Amino acid sequence: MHFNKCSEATRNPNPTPDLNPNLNVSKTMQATYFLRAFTVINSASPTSSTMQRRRSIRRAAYASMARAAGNRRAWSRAVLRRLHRGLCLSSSARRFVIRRRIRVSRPREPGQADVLRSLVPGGKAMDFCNLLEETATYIQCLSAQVRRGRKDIRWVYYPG
Amino acid sequence: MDFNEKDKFVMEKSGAGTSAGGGGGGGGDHLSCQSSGIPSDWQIPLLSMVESFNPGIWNNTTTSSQNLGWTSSEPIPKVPLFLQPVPTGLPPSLSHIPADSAFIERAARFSCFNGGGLSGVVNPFATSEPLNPFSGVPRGVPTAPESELNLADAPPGEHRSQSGGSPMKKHRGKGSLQIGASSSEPGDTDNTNGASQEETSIGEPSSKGILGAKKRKRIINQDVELNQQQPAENAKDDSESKQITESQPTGKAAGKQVKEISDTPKDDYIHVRARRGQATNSHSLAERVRREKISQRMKFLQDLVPGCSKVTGKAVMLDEIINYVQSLQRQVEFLSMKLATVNPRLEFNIEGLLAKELVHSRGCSSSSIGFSSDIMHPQLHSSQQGLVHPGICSMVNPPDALRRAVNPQFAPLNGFKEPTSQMPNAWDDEHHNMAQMPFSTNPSLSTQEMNAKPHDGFSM
Repeated sequence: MHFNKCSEATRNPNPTPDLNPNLNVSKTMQATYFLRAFTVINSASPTSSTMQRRRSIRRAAYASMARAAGNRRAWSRAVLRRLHRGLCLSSSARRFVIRRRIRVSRPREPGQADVLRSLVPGGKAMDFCNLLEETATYIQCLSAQVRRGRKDIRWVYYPG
Repeated sequence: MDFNEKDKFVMEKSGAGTSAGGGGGGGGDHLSCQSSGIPSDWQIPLLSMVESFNPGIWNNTTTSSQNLGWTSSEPIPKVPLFLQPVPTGLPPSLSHIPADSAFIERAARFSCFNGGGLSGVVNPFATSEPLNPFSGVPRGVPTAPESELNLADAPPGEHRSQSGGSPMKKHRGKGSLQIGASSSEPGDTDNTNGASQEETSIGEPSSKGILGAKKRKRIINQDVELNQQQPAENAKDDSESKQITESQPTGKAAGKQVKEISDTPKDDYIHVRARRGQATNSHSLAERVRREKISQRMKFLQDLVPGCSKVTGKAVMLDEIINYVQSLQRQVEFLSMKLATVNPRLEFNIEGLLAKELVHSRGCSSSSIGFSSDIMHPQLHSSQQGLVHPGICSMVNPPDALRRAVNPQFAPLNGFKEPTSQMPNAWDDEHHNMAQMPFSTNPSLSTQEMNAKPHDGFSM
């Protein structure tokens, strides 16, 4: 997964989640990153198994999301950190188990906010207010990525 | 001897007053200890000073009561309690204060409530006083009979807190005059009224005065704390302070008081005031800001998450948000899986894809999509177990069964299966319609569809 470094992407086009008009820019950037990564994956590992490719594509999806969201968002930083360390991205269930094991001493039952924290990357160290903000941008980027992936698939199978 | 006892009381009370003033000023808690620990041999010269100064300024007090009588009837702009300049000199009403303890009691009671409002009245008055022997900083001037005197000889570190305490005294003197005039006869503010009050309260037994002072000390401390929290609401404070001053003299009810004594308990007022003060507490203010922020973001998320606009309640909305995020993550995973199954030899044109994003444009040759469904099976089993069943069903079933599947989530899956089983043209059209639905230009439509997916496609 080699992304061409783009200085515009590291700068966040929308510092607040309420700025919807700027989201198009980040969407385009996201698509660019993802497609570039897709090409790289396709060209670099033509003989790899489907599982590996699946994992790398998923990583590319999350990385393009995080990159398009920029450094200001906590979840994007968390995603990029996790990617940098080579950790598994979709280990939300596993992560949750680990977190539960840590929190055994805590008498409190994990509420909805904790579930949301486990879902949003990097949300464990956030208070509820910031968590909601991060969730908003995360949802925006996720939905953009989903739309992007659908478009790609449709394009792959039905060109024209 | 009576005077000596009274003077003791004065010093005790001044300790209380300075402690309250220091607390209000933001520091100087040690002052109360300092002023209370004054040696007893100070009392005799102090007393002589008081007696020497009493008759000279008696007239001034009466005039001040006159002036305050009409100023109290009109609204006074509220001034913060300790922001006024300190060394404007002691008001003339201070000099007679040690002579009568009841007067000081009333003064102390009043000052906590209305001192800020009265300071605007007191200050010009004090500065315009020509006969004031206390003008300038009271430090080192032995004429001030109250805590000013005691504090003046304190170490120089006390100077700041002394300056914090002295305006309190001023308000006390003035405020007592105002209250004495207004509470007894609100319309009529004569010299005789204030003078008679003072004279009647002079003859009061000092033991009662001490008792009242202890009670008062408690109440003063509480009320000063509360008064810091709510600097506004001047009118209410006025009325309440009047009420409390009326309810105060229950301790010295045997004394010859001119004004009416109401037996309403003081705790009620304090309770109400505390509750009102909590609303403007800094912590509760911060909490309010946080709640507003959370609700604002919740509102934004409500717009973002489809199907969440009708939901009321934070818990349900959070549930919806969690479901939506989970479904989106699953979709990303699923789409990445689908893209991974594309033949890696496929040529991609990124520019073409990006251009296609804006305009419906060309695509690459996708005829080389070659894979078999038995490759897909372990992947489905490993990752998307919820998708396995409908996927297999769609494989087994004829395409008309697929036509009944309105869920667009499985549209790509069906499309994925398409090359292996030679699909009829109707299938193609069906899938095309399905695939186009989420990519409609209307974002609300697409989000609506995406919301419908987790319930249909991912319910396990």
